[in-house]
This record gives sequence, C-alpha cells and structure tokens, in this order.
Amino acid sequence: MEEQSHLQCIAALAVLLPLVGSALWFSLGKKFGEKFVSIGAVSFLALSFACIAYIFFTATLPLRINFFQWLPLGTSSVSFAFLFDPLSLALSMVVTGVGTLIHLYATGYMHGDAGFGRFFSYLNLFVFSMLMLTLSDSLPGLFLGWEGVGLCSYLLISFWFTDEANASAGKKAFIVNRVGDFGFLLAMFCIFKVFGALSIPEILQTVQAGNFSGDDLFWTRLACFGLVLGAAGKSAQIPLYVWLPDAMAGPTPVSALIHAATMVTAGVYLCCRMQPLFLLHLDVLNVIAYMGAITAFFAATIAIFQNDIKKVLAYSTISQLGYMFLAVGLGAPVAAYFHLITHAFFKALLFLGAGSVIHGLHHEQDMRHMGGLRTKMPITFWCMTIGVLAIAGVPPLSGFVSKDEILHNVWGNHDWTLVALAFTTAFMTAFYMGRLWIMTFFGKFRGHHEAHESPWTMTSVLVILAAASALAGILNWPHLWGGSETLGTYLSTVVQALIHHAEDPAHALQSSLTLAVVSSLVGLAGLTIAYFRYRNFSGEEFSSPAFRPFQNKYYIDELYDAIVVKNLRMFGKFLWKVVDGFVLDGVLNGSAALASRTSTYLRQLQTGLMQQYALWIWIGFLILLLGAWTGRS
Amino acid sequence: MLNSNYLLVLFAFPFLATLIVSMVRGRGQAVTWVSIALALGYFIVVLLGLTVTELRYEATWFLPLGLKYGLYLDSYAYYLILLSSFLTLLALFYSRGVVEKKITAYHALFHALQATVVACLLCDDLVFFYVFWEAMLIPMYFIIGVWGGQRRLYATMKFFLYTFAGSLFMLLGLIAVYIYYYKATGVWTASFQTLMEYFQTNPMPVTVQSWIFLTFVLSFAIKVPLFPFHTWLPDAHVEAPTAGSVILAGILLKMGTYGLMRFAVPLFPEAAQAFAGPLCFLSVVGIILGALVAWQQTDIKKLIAYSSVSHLGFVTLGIFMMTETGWNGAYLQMINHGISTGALFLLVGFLYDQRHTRDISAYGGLAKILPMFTLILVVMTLSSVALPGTNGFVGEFLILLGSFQSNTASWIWVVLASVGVILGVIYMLHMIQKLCYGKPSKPEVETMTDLTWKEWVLYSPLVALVFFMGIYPIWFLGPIQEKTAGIFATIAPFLAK
Repeated sequence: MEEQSHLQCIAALAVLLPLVGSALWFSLGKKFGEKFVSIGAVSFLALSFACIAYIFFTATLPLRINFFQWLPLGTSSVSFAFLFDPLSLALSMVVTGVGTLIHLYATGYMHGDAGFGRFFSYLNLFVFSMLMLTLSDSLPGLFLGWEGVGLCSYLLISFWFTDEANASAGKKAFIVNRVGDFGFLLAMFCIFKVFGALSIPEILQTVQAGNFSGDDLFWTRLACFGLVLGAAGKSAQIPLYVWLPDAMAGPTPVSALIHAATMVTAGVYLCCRMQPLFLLHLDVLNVIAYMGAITAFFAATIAIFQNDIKKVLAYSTISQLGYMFLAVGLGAPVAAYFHLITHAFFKALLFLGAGSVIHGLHHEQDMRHMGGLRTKMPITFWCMTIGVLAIAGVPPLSGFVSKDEILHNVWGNHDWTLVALAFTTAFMTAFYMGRLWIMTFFGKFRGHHEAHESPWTMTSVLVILAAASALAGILNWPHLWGGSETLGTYLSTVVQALIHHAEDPAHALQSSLTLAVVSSLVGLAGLTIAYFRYRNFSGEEFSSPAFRPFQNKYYIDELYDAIVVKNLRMFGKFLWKVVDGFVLDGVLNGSAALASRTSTYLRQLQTGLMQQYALWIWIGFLILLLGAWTGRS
Repeated sequence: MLNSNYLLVLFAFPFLATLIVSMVRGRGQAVTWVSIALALGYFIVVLLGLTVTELRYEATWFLPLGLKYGLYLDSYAYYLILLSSFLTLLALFYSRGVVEKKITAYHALFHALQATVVACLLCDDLVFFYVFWEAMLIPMYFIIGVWGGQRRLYATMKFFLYTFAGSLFMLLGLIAVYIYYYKATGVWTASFQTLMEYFQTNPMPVTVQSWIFLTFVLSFAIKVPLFPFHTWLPDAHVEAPTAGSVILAGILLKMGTYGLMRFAVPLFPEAAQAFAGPLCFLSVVGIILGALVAWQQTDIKKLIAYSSVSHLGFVTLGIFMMTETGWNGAYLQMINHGISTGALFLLVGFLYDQRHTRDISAYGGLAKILPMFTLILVVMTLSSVALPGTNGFVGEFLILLGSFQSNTASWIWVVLASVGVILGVIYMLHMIQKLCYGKPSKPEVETMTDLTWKEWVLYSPLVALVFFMGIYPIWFLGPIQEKTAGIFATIAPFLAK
C-alpha cells in the first residue's frame, strides 16, 4: 500500500501542523516576537490547506486512514482514524482555506497586542480541533474535535481575560456547549447499545442494511434527539443559542473564524454526517426543521434592534444557521451544505469587514457612533457592500443562490408555516443588513475618533473573501439555470435528498424562476425600506418601550438565570448547609457527642475512693443475690 | 525475568526506607535528600516490574489458623503501587523547603504510609490485609494532626474514628468468611486466592453473602468516600498539609474502590447484583452533590475535596453497574484522579505557600501574574472535566459507555451521572475564573512569583501523563483489561442477563 502510507503522512501533516504550531507560538511567541509568530502561524495553516487540497484533488474517495487504537471497548474499539469523503473534505477545505485567510487578517488586527503569541496558539489549536472534528471516522474522535473547538472558543472568548465580562462570556459558552455535549454523549451510548460500534462508516452501513427491532428504534430515536441537542448547543439553536451573542466578547477574527464560518456549523455537519440515522426517524427531522425555522425567525427579529455591529452579525449568524437546519430537517442536506459554504465566505467577510471598521475606529462597536465611513474606508466599504448584498439575497451573488435553494425546498415541502417563517426571515435579513450598512457607511460621521483604512494584511483578505462571496454560487448553480450543480453531484454519494421536484422541466423552470424573482424582490424590498428608514439617521432610535423585549432578546438570559442558575445555586447551598452540614455531620457529631457525654457520666463512677467501690461491690452482690432468690425453683 | 523475590523487595523496601529515614541524623536537608532518594529508588524498583502480569510468594506463618505470609501481585495491584510510589516521590519532593517542623518524623511517616499501602495491596491474606488496612490510618493521622492547619485535631479525629469504625464492620465480615470456609471444608485458610477459587464453585447462600457484602461495602464506602459517608473528606483535606492531601486523594481513597473491585464484588457477586440499584443511586447522588457543593465553596481545597466526591462517584458507579468496560474505565479513573487531583492539590499548595490563604477571593487575575501556573492549572482542570484528549475523558467515557450497556441496574443512572459532566465544568471554570481571570484585585497578588525549576520538575511528568494516558491509554488498559476479563469470567454467571 505505497499510496496509502504516502497519503497517511500528508493527512497527518495537515492535522498535526496546526497542533505543533499551537505549542510553538505559545512557548516561543514572547521570545521571538510578532513577525516570527505571524509568518509561522499563517504558513503552517497554508501548508495544512495545501495538504488537504492535495488529498482533495488526488485521492479516490472514500479514503480511510488509520493511525492507532485509542479506546478499547470490549469486543470493538475506537481508533484514531481519518475518513476522507466528500462531506469531510469539503468542510476541511473551507476550514483551512478560510482559516488561512483569517490568520493572515489577524496578524494585522492583533498587531501590538501583548498576547500575540497566545492568540495564534489558540487559533492554531482551534484549526487542529476543527480538523479532528471533520475528519475523524469515529464518533469519539469527532467528539474530541467537538469539545476541542469548544475549549478554543472558551479560551478565545475570554482572551482579554482582565475584563471580568469576557471571562464570564467564555465560561457561559463552555457550559452551554457542555449541555449540548451531554446530548452527544448520550447519543453515543445509545448508538453503541444498538450497533456495538462507534465508527461512523460501520454505523451507517448497519443502518442502511436496515432490520431494527422496536427496542432498537427506541434507542436510535433517543440517539437522534441526543445528537440534535448536541448540534443545537454547538450551532447556537433554540434553546441553547444564548452563548453566541456573548461570545462576541472575543477578538473579531475569532468571531469570524469560530463563531461564524466554521465551528458553529459543526452541528449542521454532524446532522449531515449522520443523515442515514436520522432517516430512520422522520419525526426527529421534522423537529430539526422547526427548530431551525423558529431560530432563524427569532434571531432575525432580535438582530433588527441591536446597535452593536458585532451583535447584529451574531444574531444574523444564528438566523442563517437556522436556515441550514431547516434545510437539513426538510431532507435537503445539499442545500444546507451549500449554504454552509457560502455563509462561511460572506459571513467571514462581514465579520472581518466589521473588524476593519472597529479597528479603524479604535475599538468602537456601536453603530450609532459610526456613519459616513464609505469615503474614509473605501476598500472595506466596497467589500462589505458585496457581503451585505450576498446575505440579503441579491442575484447572482452566492448568498442568493444558496438561500434560494433552501427556499425552493421549503416551498416544495408544502408546509406553509415553514414557508412563512422562511420568507419573513429573508425579508428581515435584508432589512437589518441594510440598516447595518447604511448606519455604518452612509450619512454623517457620528463618532469621536479619526477613522482610517486598515493595513493591507486585512484589506487583501477582505478582497479575496468578497470575490469568493460573489462567485461561490457557481459551486452549485442549478441545472435549471444552465449550471452543473457540482456540489450536489459531489455530495450525492454520502447524503441523499428527500424532496424530489418531479415536475416537467418547463414547468419546473418556470416555478423556479418565479421563486427566484420573488426571493430577490423580498431581499431588495428589505434593503430599500432600510435605506429610506436610515438614510437620515441621527443617532437615536427605538426609544419606545414597545421595543424593549426585542432589545433585551426576549429576556431569555434573565429567564434562564431565574429558572435554572438561581435554583441550581440554591440547591447546591441546600445540599452543603443542610444535607452535609446539618443532617450528616449532625448525626456524626451527635453520635460522637453522645459517646463522650455517656462517658462523662460513667467516668464519675470511677472516683478512686475505696469505700465507694466497696459499696458498688455490695450493691452488685445484692443484685446477684436477688437474682438467685427470684430464680429459685 | 523477575521472580517472586521481587515481591519481597517490593514489600520490604518502604519499611526499610522508613527505618533508614528515621535514623538519619544531621540537619534537615540531609534527611530530605535521603528520603527523596529512597522514594526515587523505590519508584525505580516498582518500574522494573512493568512487564509483570502475575506473581505469587508464599511462606508459612501460623499454619494452625491457616495464616500464610502470602504476597500476590497482579495488574490491579501493580498500577496502584506504581501510582503510590510516583505520588509519594512527588509529595516528598514538593515538601522540600516547605515543611520545616520535625522533618525527620514527617518524611518517615510518608514512607511508613507508603509501606502500609503497598503491604495492603500486595498481601493475599485476609488477616494481613485487615492489619495493614488499619495501619494505614496511623501515619495519616499524625500527618494531619501534627502538620495540619488550624482545625487539624477535629479533622484528624473525624478521619480516624470514622474510617476506623467502618473497618470494624469489615473485621466482622472477614471473620465470618473465615469461619464459613472452615465450617464448609474443615480447613482454616485466610488466603484470598484460595477463598476466591472455592466460592466460585461453591457460592454462599445469598443471605449470608448479603450480610458479609454489606460489612465490606460499609468499610470501603467510607474510605472512597461514597455518599452519605463523605463528610470526613472535606475536613481532612482542608486541614491536611499539601503533601498529605496529595496522598490522601491520590492513594488512600483508591484503597476503597480497590477493595470493592478486588474483594467485595468478586467474593459476593450475587449480593453485589442484589444491591447494585441502591449503590448506583448513592454513587449518582455523590456525583451531583459533590459537584453542586463544590460550586459553593470559597475555600479552594474544599472545592477540590468535593470534586473528589463527585469523581469517585463515577468510579463507584462504574463498579456497581458491573460491566467489563465500565470496570476498565473505573480502574483507569482511579489512576486519573490520582494524577489530576494530586496535581490540583500541589497547585493549591503553590498558592498557599506564597499567600498563606486558601480563600478563593484572596486571588484573582493570576493569569497576568502567573501565566505558567495558569497554564498548568488549566491543563489539570481539563483533565478533571474530562476533555477528550486528556486522561479524564478516557476513564469517564469508558465508565459511562460501559455502564449504559449494563443489565445489572437501570441505564437511567448513567443519564443522571452524565449530568455531572455538565456540572463538572461549572465548578471548575468557576474556580479558574475566580483565581486567574479579572484584574489582580489585591496588591499582594502582584508580588507573587511564577513557577520555578522545582515546580517544573513536579508538574511536567503530571502534564505528560495527562496527555499520554488520554491519547494512548491502551498502554495502561491492556494489562487492566485482561485482569478485568478474568474477574468477569468468574462472576458473569451470577449477573443479570
């Protein structure tokens, strides 16, 4: 197996380079300075990308590369092994590709920060974990990456740890993610119970062979729900989305890479990866669809009322992830995956653009203190414009194509609640993005600092991502419009579509074009209304109390705090003070006190006076005598 | 190849070390170095036995009552001896320059403690086992009582009396086994191996099993400690000197879980099956209570002590759910806990030696002042919360995954125990945030110094083990698996299908 061992080296290199880098920048970053770290971190990632690309272009898929045994599980076992198939390769291309760009950008953004080396160490560690997540061929291996990215997210959110708020935000992200991980763990236990294995190809093969007893189906259903909980945690869906807005406390490149482009899409990846399992339980898929649609809708309503530019984007991310879950739930994984990829481009672009603005304004994030930046930051402005148009769904940009594919599937599903939610969300998306765009770049400058354009390391990345956001639609351009649906063909061996549009081609073209026109009109309407609403923006808005619930995110955080956190704390205090302190120690010290009290009394018998002892002997003798007398027969 | 004389060396070395250390005259430094050298020597001696799978040594002692001076070594005993010699070495090395009172006695007591622990793990004779089981208490009693904190007398009394009282029940149980065997066969024997073999083919009636099983479990449960017998532990840990805490958490608690796996369950499988439900319930309560109470603590040592209650709840759950994979995980988790909690106590000791307070609010912002300390603390925290890639994950995952497949008790216990996975992050990250993040609140914090070469020597093997055992656990699990499979081959007929 000459070729196998050669690919094994390359795969190992792709994954280990970021890990080694992480250790290097952490330990040597201070000593060798920024230049060393910048060049090192970026080139390590670029190499890793090259390795993945090499496999992407040369290997015959699926390719399984085994390293060594990790967990022995009785009759079966789990190994460290990689599975290269279309699903994992597509995502790892995005992760390393966009990752390299964001690393490059970050060398400019983080310039002068005291924790420069530490930052790139965490960022590299993140890429390592993300690759473990995508490439692992077993669920525990995937889980290693899954928790690893959670750890990096925690470390990077609380990167500026001297501010207590950042530290709390990091902690919150980790804990909420762990709630999801609880579901993931449970799913693995259930799956192992049914399949006796945790290797993904093995599981999926058994699923496809079919033949399950009612008992088995109980466990697989539980497993599906566990996976959904895990996905909801990692991808910030209702009810576990609360950590993502707070995660914006991290440096902006982190928000772009982790909290927009890659990590948060892991839930979508997981659902696509395990799709055959979900196909056993269509009702669970329905739950996913509704979870996604409702999340998309609610997050969009909150995004409209945010003034912090990163918060708008954060809620927008939650909302877009909702779209992806909607597609997964409807049985259109290709659409979900397509949107995942285009979203990685345009949302990374938007975040990095926002970062460029924040950088240019000396860490101002409030859009009310921006405005008129289009002349001061022209490159940022034009790139952002492309990003905004893409996410708003203006043809023929990538966001339009992928979102249209999702809407097309929603339409084909004939569930009108979902249709309504999806289209309203599309409208709101265009509206709040237009609002962001106009408040930031148009009107008069309302800020306090002198704005300046960012260095080339940052702007060049913006330009590349803008190009990608504009053109990525080609990846899966529909057949009906003369495209080749490359991505769909590529993924067709690993995932399957549930919705078939079995209509005659002419009619299909007509309806798809109608839908495309409607969806672009919806997007344009949102943008236009935003334009008229905000073109003369003065800096004040939404003062009416009617908007309070939206501005305060429906008080979900407060609700969780009041219901879960407070009670858990009280319960902990109760266990400590009452159960441990009062009851258990009470019994213990009580019995000790009883023993010592008893001995205090008994001790008084031992006086050392001969006469008393003699008296006791007499009394004893008399008792014996009495006993003998009463006992006579 | 090592023969059975190796067992004699393994057994006698720490006793001799105790003698030698207590006879060294001269100033403090000399004793310290002699003692550390002996501990290192013993660690190397133990390492020599790495390839051993099973060894036996037997000599007659008092034949009329069937008492033999029997030693028996297998992988269950071996890795705990390895852990003990390793942690004792680290604990003594740590104490260099920290402990200034009665240095000779201090070092001698740690060697004595090691001697009794090893003897207890090695001996094949129930009578010897009991003698050393009780003897273990004495050195620890003095270590806490003489070198401890302010409430040391209360704590050490509680520790001693509580565990001692529990052991008395086991003595009754041991005598019962001993007499039962004599009545059944007409031969006196106290050899555990002989008893095991006999009871495999001629099991006791379930009611007899149950009573004796419960006496054993009571004694072991107090040692572990299993809820509701755990309240001595936080007090003992808070008052114990750092090195004492390391050994207490790292080794002494494991004697309880070891006892369950080595004696209680294999001798009385039917009883274990019958009481599995309630015992799993207590384990789960321990997991959740330990975690929630740890979250409430302001004393760092108390926080870690309660986290031990939670972690050992996982171990006992793995044992009482009675699956092979669960047992492998439980055994590994014993070692893991020794490493991560031992390290955490050393880290707290590092803080305490500089600031003389264990109050969490006296710190804050340490990440800025002590970046390397923070790094090690975070690594150990990750191991403690069972992040994949660290040793903690392998243990916890095997326990939960194995137990979930159990027929002995309900899978619901595993689901509830998994909630502990969430709670674990809450209290550990709470601790990290309070200690390390934020701005340095007190001026005293700003003058603290980061790790020196001494700490690096202490922590680097621990950190290496965390990852090595997390990524290549098969190195440890290989021999353990064989042993577990052997035990399950004998008890499987008595378990629920």
